Amino acid sequence: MQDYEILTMIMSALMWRKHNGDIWMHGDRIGLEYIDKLGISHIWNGGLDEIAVPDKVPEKVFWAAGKLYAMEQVTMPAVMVDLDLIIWKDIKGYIKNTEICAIHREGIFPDVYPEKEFFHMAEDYKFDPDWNWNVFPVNTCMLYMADDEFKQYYIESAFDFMEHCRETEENLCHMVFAEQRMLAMCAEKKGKIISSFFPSSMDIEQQDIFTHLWGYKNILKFNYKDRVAFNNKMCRRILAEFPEEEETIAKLNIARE
Amino acid sequence: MSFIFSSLDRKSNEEQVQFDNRISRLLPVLAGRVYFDIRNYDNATGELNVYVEWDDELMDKLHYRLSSGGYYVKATIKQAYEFHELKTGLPVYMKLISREGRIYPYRTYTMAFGRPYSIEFGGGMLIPFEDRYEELGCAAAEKLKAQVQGCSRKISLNGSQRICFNGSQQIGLFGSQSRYLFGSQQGYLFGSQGRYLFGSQRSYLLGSQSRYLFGSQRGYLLGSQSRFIFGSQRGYWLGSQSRFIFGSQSRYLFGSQPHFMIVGSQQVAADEPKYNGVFPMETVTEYWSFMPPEWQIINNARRPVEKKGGNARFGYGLDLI
Repeated sequence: MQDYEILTMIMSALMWRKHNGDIWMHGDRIGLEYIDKLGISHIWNGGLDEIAVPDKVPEKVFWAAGKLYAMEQVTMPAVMVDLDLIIWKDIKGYIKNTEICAIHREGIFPDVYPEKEFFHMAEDYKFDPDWNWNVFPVNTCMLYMADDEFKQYYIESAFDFMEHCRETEENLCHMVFAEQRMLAMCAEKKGKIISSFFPSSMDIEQQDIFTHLWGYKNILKFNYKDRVAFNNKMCRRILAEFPEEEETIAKLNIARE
Repeated sequence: MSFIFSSLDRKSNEEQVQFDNRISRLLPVLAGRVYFDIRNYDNATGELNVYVEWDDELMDKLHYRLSSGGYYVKATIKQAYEFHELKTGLPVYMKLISREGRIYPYRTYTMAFGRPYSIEFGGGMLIPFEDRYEELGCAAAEKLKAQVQGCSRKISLNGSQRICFNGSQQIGLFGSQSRYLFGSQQGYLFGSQGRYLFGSQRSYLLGSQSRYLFGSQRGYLLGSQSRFIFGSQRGYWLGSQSRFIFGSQSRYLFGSQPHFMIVGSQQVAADEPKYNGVFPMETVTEYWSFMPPEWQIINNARRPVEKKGGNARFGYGLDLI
């Protein structure tokens, strides 16, 4: 991982603990060993949980399948947060009466969310005829679910899709279908309402709850000056809010001035 | 400008081949101004989509008019930010060419930071940045204001707050013609709450060389250089020479609810859109009015007025760190 990704991940976990409660890290063995090696595993006060994605799920296509298998391990209600997303406030009040909650929905952009004929599936796989292909997908960088029964239905649907997928190369449409579009379809079928902080990703700039590194990672990756400035800022903020982590940060190999 | 452009007319005693030769040997002419906004930068391709205000007089001389959207300059991230921070537009220069007495653009470029930047047509997406028109000094800023006022008077063809039908006032804004309809914050042909007449800052403005189309968040209206071909894989609004034809797949425009019908340049609202599980328009960037209030955790009124920095493309909330 890049230094700015590590700092963001640390800040994300610390800030969640500060405002919203305990936090666990789910990752595969290599990932968790890496976290441990960095000396930051204590940040996740709930502990580190190992997940294993079955071999029959093509890793190259479903590169984010780990999120779904992590959900399987967790009993709802719970919130799932991506490593590059920081939640700066207590969101319990916002989500307490929702059934499913995310930051924003996504449009059905055909190059990202194509029709079902696009998918390269095993012959015996059938898309649920009750799924509505017109409902808007859900961006799951942060996802809250209240109902464990629904979660089970959703992830089993996603597992079924991934395990019956015969695609070996395409790594966007298949993944986001299982992760984001299917969630909306399943919710609609089960009569669950998906709440979102914002209707679409383009409305997000005017808010003060979330920081999502998202595409900014690319800028940091290719601009050393910006990277150093970002790391400086992040380190200052972590140390200001969580001075007890000074030693942890000092041990990390971070590009900063 | 007229002094230069008058020489683009064929003289009475001038042979066609002479005219072609003369035009093709002309030095580049000033063709308009180009404006930049970082939201239109694609980090993957290095293309910074630009908004161009063409010189109307020159456009009249060309064989076909050019669109305001669909053009880009190649730039590094650093350069893109430098363009963004110019806080003004730059002159666009155009080398012309003539064939069979008809004038076409041959090379289009702008000069910045001591070097030329070619302005290429890619038919790509442009997020209109009306919020910066005034700051950048776009000619459209004044017209936009007038349009917003004009729109508010024209709202409610059917009493719906979301419906806004275009008027002739909209003609000049992008150098288009009166037969075109314009979208708004809610979509592309529909105004919303009287705030915008066409295209919000988050909507996309796409153009074709000879027709103007207004797109949406992810480019559902795409123009091309051919006046007969509009849209693409991702374009679901089609335009013809004199009118709009909508939707090769109507649900992309109107969801499953046929609330709106558009015939020629007439817009008819059937009834008030209501959410029934499917958003009425797939391409809208502002879903607020289609999303029941109880589904919205944070509504417009609770959002800070000032920008908090960042957007979906480059990450968001970055200033909160």
